[in-house]
Amino acid sequence: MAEYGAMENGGRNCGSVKVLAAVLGAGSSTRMGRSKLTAPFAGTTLIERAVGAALSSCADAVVVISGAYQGEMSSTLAKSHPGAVVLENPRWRSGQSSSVRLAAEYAQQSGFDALLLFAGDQPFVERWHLDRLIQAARSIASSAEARSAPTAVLSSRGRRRGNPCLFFSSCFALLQGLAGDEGARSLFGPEHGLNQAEVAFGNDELFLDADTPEEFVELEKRYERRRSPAPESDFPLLEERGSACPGFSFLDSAASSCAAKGPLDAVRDFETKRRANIHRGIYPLSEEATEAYEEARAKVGRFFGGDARNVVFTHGATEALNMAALGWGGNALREGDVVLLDTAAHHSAIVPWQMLSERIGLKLEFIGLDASGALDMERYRRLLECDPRAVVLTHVSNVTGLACDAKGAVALAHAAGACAVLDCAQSAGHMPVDLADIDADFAAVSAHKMHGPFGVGMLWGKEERFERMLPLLGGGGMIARVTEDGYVLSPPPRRFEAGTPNVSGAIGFAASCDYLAEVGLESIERHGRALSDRFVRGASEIRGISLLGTDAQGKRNSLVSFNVEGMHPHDVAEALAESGICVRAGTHCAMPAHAALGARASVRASFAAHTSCVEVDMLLDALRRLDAPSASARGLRG
Amino acid sequence: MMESHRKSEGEMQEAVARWKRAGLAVRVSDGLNALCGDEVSMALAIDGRGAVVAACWSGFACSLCALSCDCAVGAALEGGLHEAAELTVENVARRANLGEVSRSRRGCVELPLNVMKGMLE
Repeated sequence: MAEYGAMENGGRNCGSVKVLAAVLGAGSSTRMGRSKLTAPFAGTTLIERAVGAALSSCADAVVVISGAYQGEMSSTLAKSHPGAVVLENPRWRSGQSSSVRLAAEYAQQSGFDALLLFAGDQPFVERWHLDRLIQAARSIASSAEARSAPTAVLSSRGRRRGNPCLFFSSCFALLQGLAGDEGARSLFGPEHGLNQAEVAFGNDELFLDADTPEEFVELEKRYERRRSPAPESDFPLLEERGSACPGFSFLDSAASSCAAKGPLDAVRDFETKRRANIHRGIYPLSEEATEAYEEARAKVGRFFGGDARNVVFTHGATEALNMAALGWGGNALREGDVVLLDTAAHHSAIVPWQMLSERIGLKLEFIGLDASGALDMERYRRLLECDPRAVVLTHVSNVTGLACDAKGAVALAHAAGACAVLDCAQSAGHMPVDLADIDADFAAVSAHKMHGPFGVGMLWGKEERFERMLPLLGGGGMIARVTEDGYVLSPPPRRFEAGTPNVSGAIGFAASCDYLAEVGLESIERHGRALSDRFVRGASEIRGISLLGTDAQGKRNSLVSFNVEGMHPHDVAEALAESGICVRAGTHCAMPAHAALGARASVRASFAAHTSCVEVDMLLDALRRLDAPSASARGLRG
Repeated sequence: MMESHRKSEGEMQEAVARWKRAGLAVRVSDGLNALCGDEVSMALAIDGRGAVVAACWSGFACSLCALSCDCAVGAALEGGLHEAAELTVENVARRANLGEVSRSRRGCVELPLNVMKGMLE
């Protein structure tokens, strides 16, 4: 590696093209009246944001070009990025070109192959934008065009081109010849004969900056709106994977969300300080464990609008839905009874009823989807006239991300005299869910989809419904008495928790409820919808992407399923995985939903409180770059 | 590059009809992977001596599944139905130069092999 004084960038060398990233920050911010780069901006400063992006990119080294506010900039960066190399431009008054010349001279003297320039006042430039430019440069470095003439790689969005820009060393002489207030962009005119490669980005905000105080305020507001409600630092797995693989993006929260620190700490705390079996021992440790478990039950109950009496801890939503079908339905329903099922349902909200129907001969009717892919409310109303005894609804579809009007649909079910079962696996933790207000008779939730532990969930139930439900498992803890002649059941909810439950899981589940309440469910819901809308908008500009369900904005909650023309979802997912993007591919355990939507399978991207706009942009960018034939060939080569 | 024996559903139906008209014994089998939605049908034409003289497959298949289908059908044409029905994931990986098939994609390779085994039933 060449000897140079610039801050080495953690050895994340991107191949043989050695790149110096230069953050331009010498300007006087005349129209701002003060240094815009060191003014408070969304909890940080613009210059810290820019330097952070550069340092986390795969540039080999980073320098900051300062000028008018050298002292402020140095002291700001000394706190946030100690060791950051700040090059003072003594000629900053003569205009922007002086900073570009300085950076080019430095790059040349230090033996860099390329100079990546970007302005410190563009807050929407992210690490991955810089990486894309560097990757593009690497891929063209050995081409005849790049070798024969000065070559640059520019950022573009639609017809607009601008910073960040990367210049090969063949451009350094041109850059050092700039004068006045012209920036490097003046080299893009035909008179300079520059070979220009473009990296097209789909982000409208890429080139946004601010020159006046009013623009600065608007920029900050816009930036704040994009931020995720929960920081990645709340999720150990994201920190761990993110540092090992900088392009890592977890977009499969609908399958299982990342566990948050709070629930993980709660599990560990219980296991190391209070672990004992519950409801059994009379020694203090066991009493503490029992207290912790029952307090967890009460907390989960309150989180969903009720109390401990409504909560049966299960292994997850699947077990909960089975209990409602086989435990309640198996006892309350008779041959010929009608049960309405949601076409958009997960298999766990369909198969148990089909199994029960095989046993006792129910009449199962699927409600169907409307043209947008949502529950067909018209048909639902008509089917309610068939006197169903039960209605099984999906609050948010795990395929389309569309929500039904749960409260309205449950009210209609009750008016028809039916028991309402609501699958909340995809809504719980993504929006406020008040099951008491919705008035569901039963509801199912999984903790692992709410940043909590695996192996625990909840069957929510009204007390009167629990009274008519039979336990599916028999054994310890769920009986009041056992003799050789028979047994007497414990009261609900313990009646339905045979054996030793997942005690630490339940405690972790309660902690995940605490965590989500702290982050704010309304804010999580808004964020999830905004991310889905962002994806839908971006996908509409990419040829060959078709969504499952409506294209309309504002309808989806935290997930979108789509297909890429000419590519099997598995192959799409595998190609995305090569970029570090984790999505689900397949039927998502919802085959009737796919059939109704006209697809065999799909790719699903799902979001959580920590998911950022940048990750959606990265996904869109990766989809734009998908090459169907070569992706299939990759499959052939494994 | 492995030879592709893939046909559209319509083409496969035409082929089967043609084989039957030619007096060949025809076996058809299909299978589905509920997790990923892959669904594959295979058809073999067998002559009086028990040799597989024609074969094809159709369906919805990811690239690994498609590759495995081509391997299985190719093996049936080369060595007969019983030989093809004994193919394993590792055999396919070797034939197609895939390297190791990850656990999550084994099902993609296994589906066609199970469909081929289904021909024996």
